[in-house]
Amino acid sequence: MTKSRKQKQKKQDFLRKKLKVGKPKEKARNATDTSFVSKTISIRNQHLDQNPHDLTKRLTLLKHHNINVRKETLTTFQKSIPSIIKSRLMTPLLTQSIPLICDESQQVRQGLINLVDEIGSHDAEILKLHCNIFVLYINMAMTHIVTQIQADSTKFLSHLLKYCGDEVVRKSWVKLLNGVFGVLGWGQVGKNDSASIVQTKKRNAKYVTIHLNALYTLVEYGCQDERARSDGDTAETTEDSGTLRNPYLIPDYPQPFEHLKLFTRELKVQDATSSGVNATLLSLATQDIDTRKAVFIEQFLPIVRKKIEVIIKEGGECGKSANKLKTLLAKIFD
Amino acid sequence: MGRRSRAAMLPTNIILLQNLVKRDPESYQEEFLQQYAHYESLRDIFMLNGLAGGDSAAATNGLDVGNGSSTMAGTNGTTMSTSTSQLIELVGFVSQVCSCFPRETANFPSELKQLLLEHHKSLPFELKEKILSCLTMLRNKDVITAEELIQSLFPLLVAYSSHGNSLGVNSHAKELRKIIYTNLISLLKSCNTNGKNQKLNKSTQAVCFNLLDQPDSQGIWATKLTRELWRRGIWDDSRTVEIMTQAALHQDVKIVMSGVMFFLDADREREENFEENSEDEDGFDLDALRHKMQVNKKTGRRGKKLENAIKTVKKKKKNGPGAPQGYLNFSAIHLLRDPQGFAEKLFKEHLSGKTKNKFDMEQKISLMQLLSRLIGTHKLIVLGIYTFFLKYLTPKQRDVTRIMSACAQACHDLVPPEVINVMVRKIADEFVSDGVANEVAAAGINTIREICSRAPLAIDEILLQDLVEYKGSKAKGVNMAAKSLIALYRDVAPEMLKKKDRGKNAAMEVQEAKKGGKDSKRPQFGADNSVQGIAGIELLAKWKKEHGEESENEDADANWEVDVDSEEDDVDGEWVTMDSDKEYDVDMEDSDDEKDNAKGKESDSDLELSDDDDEKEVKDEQEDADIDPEAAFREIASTRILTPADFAKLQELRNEESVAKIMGIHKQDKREELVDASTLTGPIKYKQSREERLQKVLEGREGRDKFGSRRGKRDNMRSTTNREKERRKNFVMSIHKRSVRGKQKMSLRDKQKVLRAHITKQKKKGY
Repeated sequence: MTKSRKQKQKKQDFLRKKLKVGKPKEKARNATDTSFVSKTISIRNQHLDQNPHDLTKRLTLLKHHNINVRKETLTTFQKSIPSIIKSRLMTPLLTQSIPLICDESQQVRQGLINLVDEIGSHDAEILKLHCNIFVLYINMAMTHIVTQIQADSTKFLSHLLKYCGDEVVRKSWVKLLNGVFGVLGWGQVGKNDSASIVQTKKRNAKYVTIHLNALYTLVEYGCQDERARSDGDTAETTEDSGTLRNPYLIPDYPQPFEHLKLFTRELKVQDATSSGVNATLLSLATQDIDTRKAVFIEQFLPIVRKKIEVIIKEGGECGKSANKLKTLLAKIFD
Repeated sequence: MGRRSRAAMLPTNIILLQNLVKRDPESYQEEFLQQYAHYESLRDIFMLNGLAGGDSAAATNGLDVGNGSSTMAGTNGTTMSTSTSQLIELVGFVSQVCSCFPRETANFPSELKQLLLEHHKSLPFELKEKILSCLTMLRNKDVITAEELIQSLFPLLVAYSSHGNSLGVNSHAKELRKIIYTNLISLLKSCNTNGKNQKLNKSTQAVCFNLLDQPDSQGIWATKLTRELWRRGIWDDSRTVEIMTQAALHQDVKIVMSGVMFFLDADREREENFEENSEDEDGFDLDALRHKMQVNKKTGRRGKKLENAIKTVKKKKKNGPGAPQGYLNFSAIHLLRDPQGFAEKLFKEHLSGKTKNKFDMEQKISLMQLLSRLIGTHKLIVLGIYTFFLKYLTPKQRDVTRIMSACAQACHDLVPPEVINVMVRKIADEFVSDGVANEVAAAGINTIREICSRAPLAIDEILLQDLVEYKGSKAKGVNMAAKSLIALYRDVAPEMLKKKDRGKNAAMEVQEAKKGGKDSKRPQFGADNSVQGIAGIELLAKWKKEHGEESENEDADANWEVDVDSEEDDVDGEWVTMDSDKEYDVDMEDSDDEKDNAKGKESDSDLELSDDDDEKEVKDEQEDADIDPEAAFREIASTRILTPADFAKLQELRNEESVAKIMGIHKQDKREELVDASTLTGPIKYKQSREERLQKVLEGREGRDKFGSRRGKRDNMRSTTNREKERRKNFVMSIHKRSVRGKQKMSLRDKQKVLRAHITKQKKKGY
């Protein structure tokens, strides 16, 4: 009954393969092997350097934990400001870089100042748009517990004032004055100075000079109208600005009714009287020069005069700037 | 030097500053003001940025569309971590020290509250958590009142239990709810530690009432809170119970169930809570003791155990260490203001109304249990419930034993017997017949017994006699159930039983009654059964009887004589009163337990026979507690004036009695006692399966390492040794060997030699 080889082969095709426990199922004869060997796997959308010129990628680096990276990023942006100044990138750039005012590294803060300068020199309007949040962060820096950050805050203030002084003093006159006084250690409430201020004041007069200069600029912008300022600075005659403003015309600055706080989110104050004069002052709108002057005379002038005298007597760099401030005050208020 | 120390004091972080400010607020005022300003500017930034985070994020997102969302998440996360963490730190700082500067920080608490209440949707979780803890801290420092805190906590709790908020991205609704809830509890607890803060309790309860007024499911928090506070014994008045009544009558099923479960379980929970607290100290297990006393012979060790039990009783008397001051130990059901109205509404709205289908079976059973417990405890009349039960009384019904126990619980002697009779008949028809399983029949008879022990008139004579026939059943459960029914009726109304079932004692009573031509002693519907006198006076009387001669020495002889007389007088006097103003329904309720009286009954009656034909004696399981309280009261009150010392003694005796009660010897008032569904079926013993038996055998073998078999415990694998082979070799094969056969023919001397050699060999081996 032996069958021929051909017959056997034929029969084999129709035999059923038995499955066995614990053994993998035999693969079909026509199965295709898809395995391959490769040294690296590369996925295209995970490539880091897809577009080296895309600056949006670098925004996140502003929050990098490494100081150098932050600083480098700031300089990169600073270099590319001329090309991106009109682009949509500016808003996110500013919103993300402004918090660096409170950065713990001196270099990063300096980098930010340079960046702000660069932006301001190209288009001051952009800074004006963001001056609200700018002021908030400067204010925060002024009350910061780390002395260095506190000391640097006035630098930012003076640079900001350079580009959008009007805007700043109109919106947050009292707040900034309070802040600068705090940095200088001229307490209004307590009898004794705070400990940290006493320390720094003695150590570096350099900072006091910067503070005093910032105060000078602030007062200059706040209490002096444009004509007087330009008289002082340059010999240019500015007839246009000299014309009387008609209060019934459309104002030439954005958001003229912002001080009414119609659409801002704010926490309600239960009893404003209890929290003292300061709170009422803070809520006061300081839109025009006269109000600002009045507030300054009422609240700050006596303290400034008293303290300035002391600093002038001490002399040095501080004495010089204090003297400058004194003459300004005399010019405005006397 | 001074300067140097000053430098050391320079605050460089918030925590250090906090420490300094706390020590010397005045010197560091300037510093504090600076930080407060810092907080304010941070808060403003946060209001501008953090809350409008969506807008700025959208702006950046518009730029890097192709970039995907991974960078977005990264930026958001980092903003959180920097400015938010600073704000969190400062909020903590200000709230820590703000009690030092009340004028400057007058607005601070309200700001926190506003942030929390109005902007809670956009605040990050960590900040919310911090604000919550800060508000609690401010409450602890008395900067804000407890009411204010509760007013800000409750809306949040409600807000985060609705679905809209809890689905937010990082709302952490569950954690927040937990935090708020624990805060609420601890707040109420701390406010109520030294005396109750009624004002706060009332306002909180008012909030709970308001929550329950709304038709949505927010009320669940009110019930949860109330239950927890009840468990801790912080709230224990009728207002609390009223909240739960309202919950139980709510439309929402969940709230209804929490209300119902409160009435069913909360008191047990509370007791457990306090018991746990007291038990922790000496590890005394009352349940175990009780069980032992039931099972073991009552021997001399009893005294020791009694002492232990006394200790616990004393602890309970002191309310235990866990119980707060002025804690009232009333059960929730007792504190109901309008039990009848509550029960009626509960029945009408949840069980018989249109909405009855919204409850599933389990919930319905809970409702039935609550209703029946209410009816039983307060003796309410809700006639609809008995016909309602009929539907569920079939052996195939799920959880029928629980329903049956509810049935039994719902009966009391003020319900017209006709109404209950229908139910009893139904149970008898459905459960008790020859065609059903033993357990079913046992459950039926036991339920009928429970019903009849509450309302003895619920069964008619013929049915009773039919049921009693089951005493001859082969099944133990049925047998016991039928016997217990007999025992009950021997006590309550022996005339209803057949003559042969009445027993010696009861039969004699009936005979006596017939002889005397008196009317039968059958209980009547609506008979008065109020209690008079002083609770526990019978104990005093008994004690006087026993110790009269040695304790009272001023007129010992007189006392002795009076006491001796009184034993006789007692009995006579009893006789007279019994007939004049039907006092015996009370006694009937005290009827004895059927479980362990099958034998004990006979001995009881024998003892009584020797006494007198005292038919109406209270039959307790303890044979010696057989003085009628009413008679004792009259006896004592008429012969002497009770002195303070007597009352003290009375208290002591009652104490002893309560000890006995704890040990399960006495029975409580029938009406309050719960019918345990699991006992209704009687003891069931199924045949064990092979696996169970094997398991039991194996259990017995555990821990016998030296004596147990060594099979299968070899250290290492090996083949069998020659010796083993030899040992296992078939006996028939080896018996024919010469060496074996030769042993029989050995001389005695050789045998001896071999034995000696064997012994020494064994000794050498060490056996």
